This record gives sequence, C-alpha cells and structure tokens, in this order.
Amino acid sequence: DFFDSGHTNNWAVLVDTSRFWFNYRHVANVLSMYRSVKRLGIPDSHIIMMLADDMACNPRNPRPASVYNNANQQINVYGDDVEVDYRGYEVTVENFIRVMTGRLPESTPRSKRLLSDDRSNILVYMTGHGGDGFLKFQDAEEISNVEMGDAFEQMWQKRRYHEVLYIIDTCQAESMFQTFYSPNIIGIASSKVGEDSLSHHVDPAIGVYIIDRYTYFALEFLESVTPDSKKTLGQFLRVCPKYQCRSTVAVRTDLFQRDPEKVLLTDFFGSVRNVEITMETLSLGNETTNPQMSNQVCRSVNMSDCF
Amino acid sequence: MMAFPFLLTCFVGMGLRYWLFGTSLAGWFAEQNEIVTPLTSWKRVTEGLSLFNLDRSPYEGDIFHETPLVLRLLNQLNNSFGSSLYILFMLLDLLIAVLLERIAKHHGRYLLQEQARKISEYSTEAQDILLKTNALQITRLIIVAGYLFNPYVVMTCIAKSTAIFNNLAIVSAMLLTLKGNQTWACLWIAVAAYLSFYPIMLVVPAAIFIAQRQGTDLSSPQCISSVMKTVLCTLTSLTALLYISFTLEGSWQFLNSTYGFILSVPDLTPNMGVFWYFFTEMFEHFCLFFLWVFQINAFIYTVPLSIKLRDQPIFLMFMLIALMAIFKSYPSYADCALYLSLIPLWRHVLPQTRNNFIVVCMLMVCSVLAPVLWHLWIYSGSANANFYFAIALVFSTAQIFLVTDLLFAFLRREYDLLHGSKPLIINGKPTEVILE
Amino acid sequence: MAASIAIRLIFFILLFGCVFAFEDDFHEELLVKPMKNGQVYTSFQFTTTWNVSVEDEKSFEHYHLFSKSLGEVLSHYSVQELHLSLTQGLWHYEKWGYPVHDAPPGAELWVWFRPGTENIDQTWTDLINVLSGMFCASLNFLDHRSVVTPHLAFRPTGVTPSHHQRLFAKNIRYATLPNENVCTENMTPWKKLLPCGARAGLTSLLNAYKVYDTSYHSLGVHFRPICMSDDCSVHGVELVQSLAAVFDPTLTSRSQDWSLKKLFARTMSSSCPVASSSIAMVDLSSNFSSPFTLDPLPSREEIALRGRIKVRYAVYEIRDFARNQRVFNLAAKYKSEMSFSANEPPVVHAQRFQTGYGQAKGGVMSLLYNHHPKENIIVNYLEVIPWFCRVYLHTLKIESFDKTVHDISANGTIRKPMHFHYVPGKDRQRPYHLELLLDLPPNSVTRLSFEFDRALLKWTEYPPDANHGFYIGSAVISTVVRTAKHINDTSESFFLRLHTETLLITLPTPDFSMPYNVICLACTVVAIAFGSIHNLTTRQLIGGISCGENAVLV
Repeated sequence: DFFDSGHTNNWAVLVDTSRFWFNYRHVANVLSMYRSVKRLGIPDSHIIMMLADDMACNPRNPRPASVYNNANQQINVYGDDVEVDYRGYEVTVENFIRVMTGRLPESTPRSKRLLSDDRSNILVYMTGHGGDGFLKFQDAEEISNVEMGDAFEQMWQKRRYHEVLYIIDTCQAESMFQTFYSPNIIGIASSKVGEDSLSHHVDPAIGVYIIDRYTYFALEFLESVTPDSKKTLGQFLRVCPKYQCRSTVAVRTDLFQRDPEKVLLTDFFGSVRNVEITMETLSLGNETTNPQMSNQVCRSVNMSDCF
Repeated sequence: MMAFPFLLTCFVGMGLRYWLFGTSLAGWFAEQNEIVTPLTSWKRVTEGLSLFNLDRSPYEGDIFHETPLVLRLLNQLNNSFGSSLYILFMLLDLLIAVLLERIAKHHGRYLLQEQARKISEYSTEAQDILLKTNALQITRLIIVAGYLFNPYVVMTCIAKSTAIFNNLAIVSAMLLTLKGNQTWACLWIAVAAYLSFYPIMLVVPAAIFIAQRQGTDLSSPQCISSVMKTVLCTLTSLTALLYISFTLEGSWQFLNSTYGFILSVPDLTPNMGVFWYFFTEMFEHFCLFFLWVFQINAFIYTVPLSIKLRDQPIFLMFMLIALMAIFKSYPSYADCALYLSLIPLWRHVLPQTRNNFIVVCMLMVCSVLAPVLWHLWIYSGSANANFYFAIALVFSTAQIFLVTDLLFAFLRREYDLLHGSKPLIINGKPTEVILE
Repeated sequence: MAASIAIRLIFFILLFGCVFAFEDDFHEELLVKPMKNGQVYTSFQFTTTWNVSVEDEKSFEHYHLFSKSLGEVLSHYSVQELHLSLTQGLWHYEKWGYPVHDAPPGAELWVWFRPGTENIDQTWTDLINVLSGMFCASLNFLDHRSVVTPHLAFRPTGVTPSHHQRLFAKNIRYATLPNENVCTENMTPWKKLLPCGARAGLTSLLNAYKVYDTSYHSLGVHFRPICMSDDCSVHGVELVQSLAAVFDPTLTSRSQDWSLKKLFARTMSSSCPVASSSIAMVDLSSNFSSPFTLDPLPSREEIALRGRIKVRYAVYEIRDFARNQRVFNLAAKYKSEMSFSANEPPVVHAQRFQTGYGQAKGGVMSLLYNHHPKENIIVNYLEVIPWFCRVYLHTLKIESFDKTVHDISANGTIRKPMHFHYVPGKDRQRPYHLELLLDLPPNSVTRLSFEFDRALLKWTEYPPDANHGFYIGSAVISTVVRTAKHINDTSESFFLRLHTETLLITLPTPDFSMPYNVICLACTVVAIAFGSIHNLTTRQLIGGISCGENAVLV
C-alpha cells in the first residue's frame, strides 16, 4: 500500500515578502527552500515562487546571478535554472491570497496558479518582516494571521489541499498560525510570540546579513535529505534548537491528524512516487474501454509510464 | 461727488495690475496651486486651445476642462488679443468692480426699502442700528476698493485664472436679480452653472427674491408661479447652453471632461480645499461613498439656509456663494475673493461678529505659509504633504468661522431690530442672547 | 574523384531538400565583435524557420523544432508578429555603434495581431499575462495604462497580409516596462524554447554568472512570418531568439585578449545536432586599429557589404570542430597589451534628459544627432509618457543647431515636424503618445523638448518603493539611413531603430502612514461647518439670563 500518506501530488508556495537590498537574507531564505524542494523532485510547474525583489542581478550584488546561503559561498541557492512566478511589485497580499484560494483572473497563466486538489500536499513557506499577528509585504501592506487562517479554511472548503506544511521565518512567527482552524495543517515557526527571529551571519563582500538562522539550519538539515531518505517530519520539527536559533522554534501539530514522527519529510518537500513492480499480469477487464480509468490503472501499475 | 474717489480707485487698481503683469510674479502666480486649479489654469487653457487649433478635440485628453463655449470664446479672444491678453483680464476685473458698485447701489436701495417696510415691527430701542443713507453711499466705494485691492483678487487676475469668467457670471446674476430682471438673472445663473456647475444652487435665492417682488407671501399663487418660472427659465437656458455645446462639439464627450471632472475629482493636485488629500489618502473601497458625501455636503446647505433666510434672499445668495467657495471640489483664492468682496454689502452686521480677529489672522497666516510649505514639500524636500494639507485645513476652517460668524451676526442683528439693541435687565442682571 | 563526391553531395542535398521541404530548420549563430575601446560585443542568434502559414491555424498542431509552448500561444492569440526584449544596461551608440537587435533597458514588447482579430485590447491583455508566466517577467504590468498603437515607428518586419491593409494598420500594440529586472530566471524559460535547450551547441556557452556580469545584456524573442520561396508564394514563420552581451575583458586582466573561455568561463565541445548550421563569426573591422590574431584559424573569411562599406568576418563552422572532437575555444590575442581608439560616432544617435527641478513640474529634452556630412536624415520620433506626467503639447519645441555649437541652451533654428501624431493621455487610462517625423539637417544636433506636470496619485497607486521614483520608457527613433557602419546589411539603405535612455522621475508623495488622521481631520472640518450651520438654522435666538450652566429663559 504505497498511498498511505494519502496524497498524489506535491506543491510548494514559497514567499519572500521583503523588498530592498538589506533584506537579502529573506530572498536567500526562500531560495534555500526552493533549492531543496526542487532537488527533492517538485518541478518548477508545481512551485509558486514569489520574490519581492531581485537580489541575484541586483547592481549591488558583487556576484551576479547568484545568491549564497553562506559567506563561504558553499551553496548558490539561486541556481542556474530558476523560475520565479511572482516578482517585484506583483508580490502583494492580494496576489498571495488569490494564488492560495485560486481566485485568479481568467487570463492568469498556469505557471502562476496553484492548481492543487484534495490529494495535494502543499508546502507553504513565508519569510519577511513580521510582528505579533501580521507579516508585512514590501513595507507597504500586511497580511494578518486571521486573513491567513481564513485563506486556509477557504482552501480546505474548496478541496484545494490534502495536507499543508506551513513554515514561517519571521519575528513572532508563531502568531501567524495561532488562528488557523482548518484541519491537516502542521505549522512550524522560527520564533514564539514575543521573540525575534535572528539572522545568521554577514557576508562582508555582500555587506548585509545573508540568511536567517532558522532557515540556515533547516537548509543544512534538508541538504542531507535525498528523495529516498526515510527522514521524518518529526526530525525536521527539532531542527534549530534554541542554542542555534537563539529563538524558540514553535510547532503546531494539533490540526494535523498523523503522527509527525511517522510522516516522511519527502511527503512535503519531495515529489516521491512509489513504484511497485509486479510480476503478475493484472487483469484490467473492461475498464480499459474507459480512458479515464485506464489512466488510473496505469498510474498504479507503473508510474514511470505515465510521466 | 463720488466720482473722483471712485475713478481714482479704479485707476490705481488698474495701474497696480498693469505693473504686476510686467513683473515675474505673474508667471509665479500662474503656477501656484492656491490661485489656480486644474479647472482654471491658463496653462491648461493654452494646451486646450493649441489642441483645438490642431483640429483635435481638447476633451480627448485630461488636461483641458473648460466648457466648449468658453473654449471657443477664449480662442477668439486669444486670437484677437494675442500677447496683450492680460489687458482683457484687467478689463474684466474692472467690469466686475463696476458691477459690484451697481450691486452695492441696488442692494442699499433694497435694504432701505425693506427697512421702511418693516420699521413698524422693529423695536423702538433699535434706532441706533438702523441703516442710514449716507452710510450706504460709502459702501459703494468700499466695495469697489475692497475688490480692486483685495490681494486674492489681484493674484487671481495676475495669474490669468479663468475663474474670473465664473465670478463675472455670478456677479451679473446677483445684480440682475437685485434689479428684478427675471429672464436675464436666470440666464446668468445658467451661465454660471454652465461654467462651474455649483452655482446652480443660486437659482433658489434668485427665485425667492423675484417672487417676493410679486407679493410678500411666498405661498401665494403668483409667488409659486414666479418661482416655477425662474427655475424653468434657468433650466431651459442651461439646457440650451449644453445643447449648443453639443452641436458645436459633435459629441457629449465634453460633459465627462467638465462636470465629470468636477464631480468625480480625479485630479488630486493640491489646493486650498479639503478634497485633494482626503481622496489621496482614502481607502479604495470607500472612495465612492465619500465622494457622494462631500459633494452632497456642498449642496445640502441650500435647504436649511433657504428656510431660515427666506425673507433675506440676497443674504442667502451671499451665504451660498461663500459655502460654494469652501466646499467645491477645486477651490481657489478666486472663489474666496468673490465672497470676501461682497462682505461690505453687510457692513452693518459686522459689529455683531465675534471672531474677526481670529479669522483675519488665520487667513493671513495661511496665505503666507501656503507657498512656503509648498516650497518646502515640493522643492526642498524638508516638509511633506501633511504640512500643506494642514494649511489648507486651517484656511477652510477660517472660512467656515467667517461664514458662520456672519450668519450669526446677521441673525443677531435681525433679533436686535425686533427686540432692541440694548440687553434686557431682569432681576438686575443683563440677559444674554442664546440659541434655543 | 573529388568532383564525383561533390556531385553526390549536391544530389544528397537536393534529395534532402525535397524530402524535408515541409519541415523546419534551425540555425545557430554567434557574432563576436571586438570593439575599439577593448570591450567585446557578443551576439547569439538562434533561428528556427518553419514553413507553415500564420494564417492557417491548423498548421500549429504538429511541432518539430519550433517551440510548442510558444507556438500554441502565438496561434491562440492570433499573433502575426511578436517582438519581445528583456534588457539590462544601456546601449552606448557613440562608443559601440549599432547592435544587431536594438532594445531599450527593461522589457519591450510589440505585437502585430492578424487581420480580423476581434477585440485586440482584450487579446493583448491575455497575451501579456501568458507571456509574463512564460518568461517569468512582470509583463502583466503592460496594461492599458502603458500600451499605445504606434503610427509610424513600428512597421511589420515580415510578410504582411496582402488584403485588409488599412484595417491591419491598427493591429499593433507597443508597450515597455523600463524598470524590469532581467536575470537567470528570465534566461531559463528562454533557453527552454530552443530545440537543444541548454545542453548542446552555442547555448552551452550561456553561463548566467558571466552573462549577467556584463555592462549590457539583452534577451530577445522575435517571431515573424517570412517568405519561404523567392516569389513569396510559400509563406513560413521564423522565430529568432537573440542574446547579446557586452563584456569588458580588460576589467579582470591587464590585457585586451579575450577568448570564449575568458568571457563565458566555458568552452563548447558539441554542436546542436538538430541545427542545420552552427556558425561563429568574428568581426574583423577593429583589427586595423588594434591588431589581433585569432586562434583557431577561421574556416573561411567573408566580406559583407554594409552600406557601401566592406566589413571582413572570420567565420567558423562549429560542426567541423565538434566532428573532430575538438573543444571549440575561440581566442583573440592582441599584438599590443592595450591599444584603444575612439570610435567614430554612428550616423544617427540620440540622448535624452530630464529637465527642471522639484516635484511639481518637469520636462523632457532629447538631442538628436545627425553626423552625416551631406545628407538630411528623416527620423520618426516616438515618445510614450505615462499618464501621471501630464504633457503640455504646446510647450513642444524643436530647434536644430550646427554640430559645432556647444552651448545647447542657445536658440537654434526652429523646425516644424513633417508629420505629427498625438494621442493625449487620460488619467489612469492611457499614456501620452507623441510621434513626430523630423528632418534632421546634415551635421547637426536637433533639440526637442516639452514640459509636463507631475500628478499626485492616490496612496494605493504608489508602488512599495514610491520614493525610488517612476520610470519613463525610452523614446524610439526609427529611420532609414543610406550609409551606416556596424550593420550587417548589403543593401544601399536600411532601416534603423534606436532607443534613448529611460528617465527616472520622482513624483510628489503623500504621507503613507496618515490615512486615518487625514480622514478624521478633513471630516472634522466639514463637521464644524455642518454643525454650526445646523445650529444657527434650526434654532432661534432668545434672550435669557445665564446662570452658570442653566440659562433662564425669558
């Protein structure tokens, strides 16, 4: 039984809400997550990435077309085949809510839509400047935790997700998922209410902080994950203990119905399809006359043929 | 007897304008937002005329907002006057001054008639506040001097603001109303409304005044028919003007560029009113609601004032002109200047006003600070929009104080005429007049 | 023997030509042009031709080399011709001459729609949304507030439909996004349109870290219908994908030498197998002033006539190198370490400035240069100004000066435009669109200037970085010149399009933190008036005695 996790497809919504060069680290945060999910198998077509500013080709970047997670330039999280779906002025609260709830104008292209269904596991990662109960978008507007919770409820009612892993790296991040009330959401926040989230270190060549603590250690952990690894969500929840983060990573699991210790991390970060090769011939019977059904059968027999 | 000071005033007034036109102030005034608005700026007129001369409709764009008849009139004038166009503006100012003098004359006569008619009802103790003929004589000179030397009027004239046409229409309408010339009064009200929309409310005082000449009781059939006639006549004239514009222009496009522009306030260029910053900062989904509130606010005062001042229609007209100047969507000094110039007509109520000093100080401070703060905001970048808006708010507040104070003083004088100007003494204590 | 092989080859070519007459073709080309100031201009061009007619929708169903994702979009939105460029940096005409594909800073898109397209404005809106998703660019901001229908500046570059000529003339839309950033995220989808992707052939040179470390780089996609036969009886379509970058090898080392490895940090070891031709060319025109030697030696040298001037090219057939399993690393070695010389300015170029100060008014001034010693040049000048700069047409002044006059504030000869097209802007609806046909006298500078007022916008209309300012897109100058250098064209006269600088203007801003205060204060002022008048009109004056708080009425 290889559908025990209950999902058939994976999506990722990665949002950086800050603009301006001194917020380099928020872009690096998002790109770290992007790198991980892409490496673990979620294709660009299933990743909605929102970047409020262009750091890679920013004139102030001494290393054009790259964003590093580390002053030693270990990992270029920007990569060389990145695709950004919403950028610059397009990153607004309205667009974010519209993407999540699927209420986009008709002419919006597929690459800018979250075309998830009730079998989709969605990873939502947000970073930016926030406070108790809100997250700022580009220093011009903000999304409140109530709006955020309502957006997820709407998604649930419209059967737009199966399970959601919500990660937020901002100050007082925990406040953002305290108001969630829809099922099957697991939340991870870089800090508790009343705490600040801190950045990791400065790159003297770039001149600004280049990544936040929580995401830095999360990326470090994710780098050790491979598409077939058995690392669980439970292990991921313990990433960045207080002595590393200097803030308390907050977790909310009461809405989530499974035991995080038994959930594979790749259920959210990867797009892993289990393939079971059978030696027996399966009788497909009359079902083959129905193309829809034959497709279904094909899926369970040998996924690689369908993709 | 009056001729010499009168001529001297006119001459000096014109000389002042002629001199100022020659200085660099003319160009500066023409760009000051307190003096010209998008509706009245001569620069925008020039743009409209140049488009018109290129056989393009100036209403295609969003720069020109004058009505089609004014467009053609200005084109004609611009072609015939050429570079000496400023003379036209000087002459128009002189014409308004002369009309104001006629208004003062007719108004004085009207006041004396009214006084004579009602003298039997007045208290015997009100002798000293009754009007005297020679005091009214001097008003005629004061009003002309007050107009020609009013700095707001001078600035408006030097800036070549097209608001002068609007003021001319309103003053003419007032004079013709005072003369009791129903048809012409209606026509001029229609012209004023055609030019800037808001003066349509002047039809109410005009109708009341003309009806009262038929008979004192407003509910009598002659009066009602007279009121109907005035209203109909105005509306017909206005429709005719609009229809002529339509035939000249060939489309109704101009309506959107003129009245649409006045009513929906799309241009948020700063001025001395309350609209611009309010709608700059307004939340998107409340814009329409507040637009309605603010525009209705500009008109709503017609109702209570018409009821309260039904026996004093000329003062009612003055009140409406003043409130229009405060609450119209693109107010400027030109509108303010008009009603300030009319105040000498009610010189006799001024002793009852209470806030003169405050109001004068506020107006003066605003007039000085407005260009200073504008410069700090726009050119030196050391202030922001809030500073300029604060001044605009104070200016509006000062005008509101002035207008409400005049209304109070007027009502108080009416009260005093009936009850005597000396306070009653009851139980050894003087009584106070209060509102109940 | 050799002759018989040649005959057989020709036979094979003919045979293949017949068999694949209805197929598509892919060519890749790299032009390297060392410039006299030490910089190196590289221009990649990938051309896919396909002999289907744009007018026949059914033909866009089976794809071979032509990009399917783009083909579907083009046929669905009835595109006749499409030109998109994403550029960063400004092309310096005086120093660099003319580029192969001219592009303004930021994004530029112009599209001709097929005749008979219904509701072009809606089609445009849908198309920009799709393209924004396809190229990861904010092209969806090219909405009705920035789009115009150019009158003369943009003509179709390909075959035009023979009928409906007059209707067709209005089927163009043009818009620019001057503040658009360009980075790897735009190059990734661009590469995906190529039949070989990023894996083989010239594309394998395209290293984002190097391409985006240049003073000018530009991505382009150009689609147009073309003639496939000499008599133009067979129509086809052509997709040109271009990438240009201007490198400065002298920045990293103290020598003018350059090589593909130095420029791109990569070499090429394979050619794209589906490409019909794979060529690299080096422009040798600067070889006279600063001599260099090329390694390896070119396959052949070609001479092209560019408007009466001969230009030599060294041509490399990359497949020859790939076939011999050789790594292709084109390198130039200069005789002297550094020898720069000034470039002769091109025949026509322009500069544009912003004039005035403060945040209330402003102006735009353009200087158009005609360096031709004898001939007048007729240029079309297109200016698109966003609605929040309210342009006063009556302030438009065109004056020309002798080129030797340096004081540009002096009065020159007033010139009248030969033709004039103006569409005034409308607030929040459409931009100001000005097109002028000007006759530039020989050896002259023509100054064109006009003024505008800056609008105060609603606070929600400002972008998050309101104080950064707002961009005015480049002006476009189109002309036909007889003699010009730096262009690969053999005809006597040819078409040129230039773009000027973009302008960054600041608008007055409200205080973004004050909405509640402003609303409260303004309403208070209105309430003062309403309250006082309400009081005075609904109550009566009555005499009474004031005894503290309670008044005794009489």
